[in-house]
Amino acid sequence: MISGEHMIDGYYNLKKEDLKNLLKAVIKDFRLISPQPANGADFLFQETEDSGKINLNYDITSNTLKEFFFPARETVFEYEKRKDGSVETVPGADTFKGETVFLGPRSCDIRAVYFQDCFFGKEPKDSLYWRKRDKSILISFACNKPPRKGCFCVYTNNSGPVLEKGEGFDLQFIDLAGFYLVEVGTGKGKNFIKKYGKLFKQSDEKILAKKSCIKESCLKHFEKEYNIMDIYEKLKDINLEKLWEELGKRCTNCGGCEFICPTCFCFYTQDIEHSKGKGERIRAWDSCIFSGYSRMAGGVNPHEKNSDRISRRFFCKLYNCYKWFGVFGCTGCGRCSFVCPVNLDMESFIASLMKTDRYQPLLKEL
Amino acid sequence: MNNNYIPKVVRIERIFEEAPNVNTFYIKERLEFIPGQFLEISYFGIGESPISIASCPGEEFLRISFKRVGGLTNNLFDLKEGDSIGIRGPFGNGFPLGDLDEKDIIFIAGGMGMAPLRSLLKFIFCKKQGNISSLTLLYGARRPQDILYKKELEELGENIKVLLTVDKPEAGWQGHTGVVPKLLDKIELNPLNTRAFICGPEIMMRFTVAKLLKTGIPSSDIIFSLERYMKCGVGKCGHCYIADKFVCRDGPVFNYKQLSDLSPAEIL
Ligand SMILES: Cc1cc2nc3c(=O)[nH]c(=O)nc-3n(C[C@H](O)[C@H](O)[C@H](O)COP(=O)(O)OP(=O)(O)OC[C@H]3O[C@@H](n4cnc5c(N)ncnc54)[C@H](O)[C@@H]3O)c2cc1C
Ligand code: SF4
Ligand code: SF4
Ligand code: FES
Repeated sequence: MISGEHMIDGYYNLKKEDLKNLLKAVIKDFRLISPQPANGADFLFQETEDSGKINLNYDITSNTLKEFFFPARETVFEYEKRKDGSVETVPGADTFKGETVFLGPRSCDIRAVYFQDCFFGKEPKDSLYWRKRDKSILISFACNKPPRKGCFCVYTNNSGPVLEKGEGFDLQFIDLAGFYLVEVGTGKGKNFIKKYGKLFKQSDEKILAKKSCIKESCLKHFEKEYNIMDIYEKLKDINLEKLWEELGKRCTNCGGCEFICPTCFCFYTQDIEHSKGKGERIRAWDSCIFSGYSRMAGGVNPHEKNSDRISRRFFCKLYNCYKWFGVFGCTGCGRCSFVCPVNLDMESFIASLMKTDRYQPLLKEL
Repeated sequence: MNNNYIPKVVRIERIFEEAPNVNTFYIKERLEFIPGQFLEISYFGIGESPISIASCPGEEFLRISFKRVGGLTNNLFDLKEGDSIGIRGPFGNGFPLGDLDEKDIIFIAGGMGMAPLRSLLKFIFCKKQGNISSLTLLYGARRPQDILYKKELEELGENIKVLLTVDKPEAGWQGHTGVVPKLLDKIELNPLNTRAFICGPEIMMRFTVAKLLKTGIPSSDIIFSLERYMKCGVGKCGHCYIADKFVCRDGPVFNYKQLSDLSPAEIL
């Protein structure tokens, strides 16, 4: 027990050696999804029942939390046609098994979930997303140091490295050498602490003060060159036709940047007939970079040009998303830089944008 | 929370061949909607497409008219009376129905664009007629036999001026020949008292809008329904977005001012 004088609500200490015990208890009570090494060097968020497999000292996961709430492919409903001409539909089974604790996501991972919550939470709410999301508890681990050189969370919404209440976590763990400072973000987080009350000790103001020290020292690792609002304004105000054309020539339309992105939300639907008159409708990830994404009847395609689609991708993330929800559609995780074969990832894009200074007023064509 | 992607299964009461390769389904389903809204129509095993509601609120049957263009619409032609389809909706904002009193109203339709305009035209014709200064319909189709709702249009009588045009006239055709925007030359317009409602292929709308703007009609009185590739109808799948708007949810009806204020500009 730490000095009782300046104890504060909503902050707890967890001894590092107790993390093992916590994990064991959580595995008994919940489904647990945590970062684990997979295929040699890669890390993946995966379900585990063996706390020994969890490794919280990872740089970045190859998958994101998106695939748990908005999987790459899911059944919307199954149907069966009857002899009398009618059709019966049955909602797709919920594949998200039970209350699930996500332990170990980084700040940017949480901000991506926050974004998708905004998107799929806008009326009409997306029931397929929420029936999974509602059953999950997010326990994030703040970064003491950017885990990789390619991190740029600081520039996009301050998606990291250390989060504040209301930014998406249920609980946030902050590594303070011998123990974790645990910050409660939501009612779900509070209930979790209650459940494992024996392991958590109430924290005090002196310890809480260390949170901002951690944040500040982590921020020193980022060389702040630009501000996301500059990017927003620049996109809005200048004619970037030439830049889009240049980038359009490079993009191979593989869609990798969008499939790996934790905030991208586009999907298509398709009916699959399994046997005569019986089948399912699925929904699966789609990408606005694909050339057929907006092709309509009669072959009319309002976004036929590569350059057009590239501009839509970046506009969506850095402009539309902000207009919709006051947060950007990029969390600065840097994952698109692993997959893009032609270095057209978000960080390089922002760099080229900031170098572009063709300040002409946007020519609106009538 | 309901699974909002599961269509309601409804029975087709009647099928009417509106024109070659265009059928109308009559469905008995009480639905509250505004002219200009659309449904997502499912043919189970093939998929879903957005189709406008062609009936007017209050009509006995819910009607949709569709043209054979591809996977889904081909299959709809195989269905018989008594068979079922899935519907979700109504979706979209629909046409703005306020502030029409004393206005000169022009409906401008091209091809299948007549379907949502039938709903609007009927609505205004039945509910508002007394208060409207004048009603005009300019409507173009490929051939005379492609004109939809022909009999109904004839029955509207003197209270509406109807000008029809076709690309390919045939013997006995008494209407006009050529593209829809050309019909605008045939009528007198009072630009400051006109409200235009347009629906048709994008190219037809582009030329029509340009011509209307030239006459001096304010861009906010030029109202049209935009077509985009749509999957979900509820602002989630992403497909239909233009600038920061989802055509399925924030549209499909926009006025030209709204469209030209978008950034980045979406060119009609
Ligand atoms: C708001 C709205 C209202 C519409 N109202 C009507 C109507 O009342 N009557 C009517 O006949 N048509 C209407 N359409 C057009 C109709 O949705 C398409 O013709 C139809 O989706 C084509 O589907 P298909 O499966 O038969 O063709 P497909 O085999 O899918 O494809 C033919 C072509 O249509 C494109 N296409 C496929 N799905 C769509 C889609 N969902 N939206 C647009 N293009 C698509 C394909 O990319 C392809 O180029 C409307 C479209 C919109 C957006
Ligand atoms: S755009 Fe790239 S860096 Fe930004 S969130 Fe998506 S994958 Fe991460
Ligand atoms: S990963 Fe690169 S090449 Fe592939 S679609 Fe995205 S921008 Fe284009
Ligand atoms: S149709 Fe899915 S977002 Fe508009």
